[in-house]
Amino acid sequence: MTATMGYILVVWFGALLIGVPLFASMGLAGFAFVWFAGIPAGIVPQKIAQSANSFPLLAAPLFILMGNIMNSAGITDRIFAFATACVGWLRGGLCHANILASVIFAGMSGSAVADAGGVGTLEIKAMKDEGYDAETAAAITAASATIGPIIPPSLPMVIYGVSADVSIGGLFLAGIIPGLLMAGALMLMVTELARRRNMPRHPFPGTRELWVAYKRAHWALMTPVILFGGMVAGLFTPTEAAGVATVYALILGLFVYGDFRLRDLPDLIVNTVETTGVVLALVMTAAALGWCLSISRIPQTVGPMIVDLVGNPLMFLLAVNLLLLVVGCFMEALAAMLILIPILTPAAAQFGIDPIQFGLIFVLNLMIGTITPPVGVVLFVTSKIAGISFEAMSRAIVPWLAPLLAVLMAITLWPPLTTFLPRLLMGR
Amino acid sequence: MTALLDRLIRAAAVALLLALLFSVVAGVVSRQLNRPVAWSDELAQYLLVWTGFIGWTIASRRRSHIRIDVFISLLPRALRLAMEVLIQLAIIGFAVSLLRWGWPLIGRNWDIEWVSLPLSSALLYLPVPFAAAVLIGQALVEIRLALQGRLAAEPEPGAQPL
Repeated sequence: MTATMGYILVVWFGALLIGVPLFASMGLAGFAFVWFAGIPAGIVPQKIAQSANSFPLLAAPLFILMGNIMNSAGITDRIFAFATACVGWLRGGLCHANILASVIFAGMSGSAVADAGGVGTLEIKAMKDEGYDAETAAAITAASATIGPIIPPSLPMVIYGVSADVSIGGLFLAGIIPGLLMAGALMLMVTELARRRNMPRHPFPGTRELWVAYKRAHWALMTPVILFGGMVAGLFTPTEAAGVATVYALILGLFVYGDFRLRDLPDLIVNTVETTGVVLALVMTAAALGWCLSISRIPQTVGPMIVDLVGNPLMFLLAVNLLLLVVGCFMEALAAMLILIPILTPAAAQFGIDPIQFGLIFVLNLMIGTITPPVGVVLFVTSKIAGISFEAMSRAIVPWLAPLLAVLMAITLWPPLTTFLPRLLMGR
Repeated sequence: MTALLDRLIRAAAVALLLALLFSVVAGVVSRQLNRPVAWSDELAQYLLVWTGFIGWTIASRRRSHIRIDVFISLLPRALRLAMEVLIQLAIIGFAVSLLRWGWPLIGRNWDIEWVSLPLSSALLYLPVPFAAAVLIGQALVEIRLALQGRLAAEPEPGAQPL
């Protein structure tokens, strides 16, 4: 059966490259396997439907909905105004504000695209108005958008946790330190660049102004507090936190800030369900194919091969980084994740790598993949917002990859950066 | 006909996601009030399956499913149109298999009840044939477009997930 599955995977990979939608090629590969292996074919649709019958996965549509509500409920502009009041007076202040706003927004949204398209729109406009060139504005926005899914909540972590069977709460906690490190590394780079290019700065607005900006953003800033407070205090699970925070965002938008109208809700929900459909089509068919893979014993065959080939855990992690970065250039993050999880996680387990650390390395790599050309969703979004060509965007992003890659190296080489918080707060 | 179908799908999407949200929040609230309801998790999970399949059809109608078109976009136009027909046939192949082997699951699970509510487990598989049928219909639309020599518009990248 292992050989049969091997041939099927070769055909499947060809279909993938010629542009067959991923859900269809994975589903077909599943059907092909059960056909050749003589297993009743009903198992494939059954696995497809059953895999969505999952409590942790419920967080996916809820986090997408929450991000969409945040973006259209006037919550993002309050956060950006607050970030500008905090750090706008530094040299290159709007660059710093851009990064800080992304960090705050990361605490309430779980997607890099939502960050780039939401708070990113404001950031790029404000920076262009102040005389920054569009390329720099768009590049910083894209680079800081990758923090969104690293600092919890995080949609990719939900998908990773469900598919690789790792604690989602643990992944969430593990993301906090790397996320802050990413922001720090980016800000360090901005500081250096601002000094060299003599970027504009504002006078310090005064604590009074700062207080006003805080008060305007207060209720929005409470969202991460509710999310984490509730999760850490054990009031609710990550999934339930997503539900509670969505209701909170709705109340903020509808009643407290009043920038959101009830008649905007249907369109927003349909877009949410569309994105959910894109995500779940992959998760569901990948689960069916994953079941076929485990029956065919491919992971058990490939895992030891990788172990023999690479030798030690560190080399393995470095190889995984390289593989994921290259794959991330050419493939959608979610797709790459679902394809590579069944192959790489068994090998990681054999090497004794902490599953949470491995998850973080996985997710961070693929988030960097969203800002690497030729396939980088976030680059598409930011180049469109900034009104520059995709080629110009691709050139502008290159220097900003360095700080993110530095953080990736750090979490690869030093496990406590990711494992410390989960151990501390969850006692694992 | 398609306009009616789209409106139906939209209405279903709104109803399902709101119900899902309500069910999850009902679970939290009832537990905080020390009167936990038994059905909240199971209901929400069933609604997720339905939402997933409805979203699947929306994404198919709006052409936002993830596919790798870096390589295919390098091909000359005529070849690309031919490839598009082939790709859509692959989708039909998948959807027909889904319909053919998904349909019997409904009958087979009809008598099995949920844990928390007196409802049938077959509900889990009810949206499978529907989604498969929409996928087939949409693939036929795309094939007709390609045979007329037209390439469908690229989807908005904002609709993509991560």
